[in-house]
Amino acid sequence: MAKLDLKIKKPLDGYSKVINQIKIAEYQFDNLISLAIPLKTERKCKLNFKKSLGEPMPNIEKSIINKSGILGFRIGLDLLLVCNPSHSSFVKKTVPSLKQAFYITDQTGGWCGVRIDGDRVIEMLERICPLNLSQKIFAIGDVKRTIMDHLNVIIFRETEKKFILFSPSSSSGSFLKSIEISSSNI
Amino acid sequence: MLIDHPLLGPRDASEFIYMGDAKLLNRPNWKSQNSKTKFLDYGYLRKNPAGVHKELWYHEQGDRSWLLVTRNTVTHEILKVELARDTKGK
Repeated sequence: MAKLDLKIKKPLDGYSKVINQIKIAEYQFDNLISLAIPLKTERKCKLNFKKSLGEPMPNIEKSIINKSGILGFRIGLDLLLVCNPSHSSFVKKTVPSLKQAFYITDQTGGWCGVRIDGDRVIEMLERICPLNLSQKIFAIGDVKRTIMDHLNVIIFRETEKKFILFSPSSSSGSFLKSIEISSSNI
Repeated sequence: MLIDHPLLGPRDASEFIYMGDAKLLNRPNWKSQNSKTKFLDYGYLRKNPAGVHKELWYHEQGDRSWLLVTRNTVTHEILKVELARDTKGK
């Protein structure tokens, strides 16, 4: 039997391009899981989150990045997402630890990340994003779930002019096209 | 139209779905004597006022919360926004 060499294929196949000085690149990650807080167990979940990731559980629309680079953000009163870019012991150690308090669903294949970075990134986002992007309202480290070009998007602000956009992987091609068009039109 | 979400601040109405009259929060007791009439009213009959109206909005493209919005249907002015979970049964 032939030996198969399996490789992971990302939704945008490692896309990277610069349009009008805005760098658009696929944000690749190894795992993305959702954590649902069971009814009336928020206190237990807060303790577990701190123990598992070494950072306090964020408030709604806030995020944390721990020393291993794992990103955690809260998008609802009872829902968080945890994104692991490349930490090797995430599946073997962190996930089983989180499982002791949260309901966990693996959503790695369901989401696609796009990082956008550049001086004119706000101008580009203003064309498709209904949120107030001023730093007073949407500060560094904040995360919001919204709608862009009729598609569900989670937007995370890394720095003043750098964002990561997570959209469903099934429509990631359409979403990338709307980012490209918006970048071309500024 | 902007809806001032109690937890998240003002958000565009395109993130929400209108889910109907807020009377849906008060489901009748099926054991009550005239439950058939009450359920007919609950399921099908609406006042549909031209003026102040309490309605349910679901933040589908956001934090998935249910909101109780008091809105003037003539002017579209939003008078009050509350989390439905905080108002149920009041």
